[in-house]
Amino acid sequence: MASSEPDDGVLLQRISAGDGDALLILHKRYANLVYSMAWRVLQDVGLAEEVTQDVFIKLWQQGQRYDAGRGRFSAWLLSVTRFAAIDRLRHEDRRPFVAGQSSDDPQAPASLEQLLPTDHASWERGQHLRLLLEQLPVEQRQVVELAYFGGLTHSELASYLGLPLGTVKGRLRLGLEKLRSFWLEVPEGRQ
Amino acid sequence: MEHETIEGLIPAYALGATDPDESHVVEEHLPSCSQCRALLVDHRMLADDMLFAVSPISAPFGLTERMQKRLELARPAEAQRPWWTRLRRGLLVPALAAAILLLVVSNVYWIGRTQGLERRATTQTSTFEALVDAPAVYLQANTAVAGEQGVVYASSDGALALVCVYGMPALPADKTYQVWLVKDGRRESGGVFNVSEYGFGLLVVRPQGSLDGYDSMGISVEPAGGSSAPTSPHVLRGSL
Repeated sequence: MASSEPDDGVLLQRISAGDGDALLILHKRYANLVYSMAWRVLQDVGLAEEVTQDVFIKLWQQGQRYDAGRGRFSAWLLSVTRFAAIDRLRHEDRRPFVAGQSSDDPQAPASLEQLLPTDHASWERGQHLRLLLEQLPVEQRQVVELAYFGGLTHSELASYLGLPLGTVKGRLRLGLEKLRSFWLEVPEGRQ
Repeated sequence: MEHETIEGLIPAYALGATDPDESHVVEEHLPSCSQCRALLVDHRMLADDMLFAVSPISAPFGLTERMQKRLELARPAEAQRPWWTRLRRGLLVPALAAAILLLVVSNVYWIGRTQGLERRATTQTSTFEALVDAPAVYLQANTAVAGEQGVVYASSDGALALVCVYGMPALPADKTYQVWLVKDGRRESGGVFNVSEYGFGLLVVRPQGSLDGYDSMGISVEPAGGSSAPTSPHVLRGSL
């Protein structure tokens, strides 16, 4: 982000005062990041775009919902996007994306330059975590990703995968514990 | 359920992947187990970082231009709300002053009609006058989700208080919000109220004694009509 550009807090104040230009600046700043999360959950260009736009329209209409005391704006925005995308997934009655499946419509990767202005440290930790996820045995990675990006609970995972409940619980627990161990070894983890 | 079993649920709980009955067990266990609380903190931080564990993808071309078009069609909700739901603390005093003015005008009219109505209107006016200069006490959310907050304006003689809440979830028809005045652990009902679809609500509380004699005020969700004692945890609370 160029130093002359207003920071997120200033833009949010302007948005709550009804300044549409401020929302467009924020949109330009975060659209790739929000779209990346929406696409990760939905695996559909049209739905991901709709969710992305809906998230910003809600920000326009309910911008005061973000509480700066509870974390960074970029993390809050991604969290809102994840829940909105999971809601849309359920509403459309679509099956969550399973790790290892290839997408029918591969998307153009964004350059780091397009994404880094958001929050360098969080982005770096998240990308490291993405690599750590790939080191998990595929059956553990599958349940972790379905739970996180598909919004499935233990019993929903068991039903979705056609596996006994105990097996699913064990895989999710082992996967998350391993991920935590890897993550604790990362120098910048837990910051 | 044993500690080890519950501890095993913590990673999934942090991710939001436990079923409702499992979440309930974890939530009952957490207050008494520092080990599980520490584990939960780790897994919550891990879950937060996972938000950024997505492959970077470029948004479709022209997305910002399409956003601009949608924006032109969507006015901020603020501008669409009824005026009274937009009242915030800074506007409350002028709003109350306007209310007083209206009351005074109506009083003048009614003074000529009956002595009884005159006395009643004067009492209402003095009620609002007492609240205009009242100091504010803030009520905090137990677990803030959507910016819930409250402000209490207590009259100097402690005989009444105006409770204003913002950002509260609207309740179903069989539920209501109820104000509780707490003194030495005893809870006395201050009245019930509901909020608008935008989460705004008001209630004038007239305590049995002076407000100064109470330790705190809380608001809980109760069955419609209110309860004789709280049946759910408070959603807002503040020291008086």
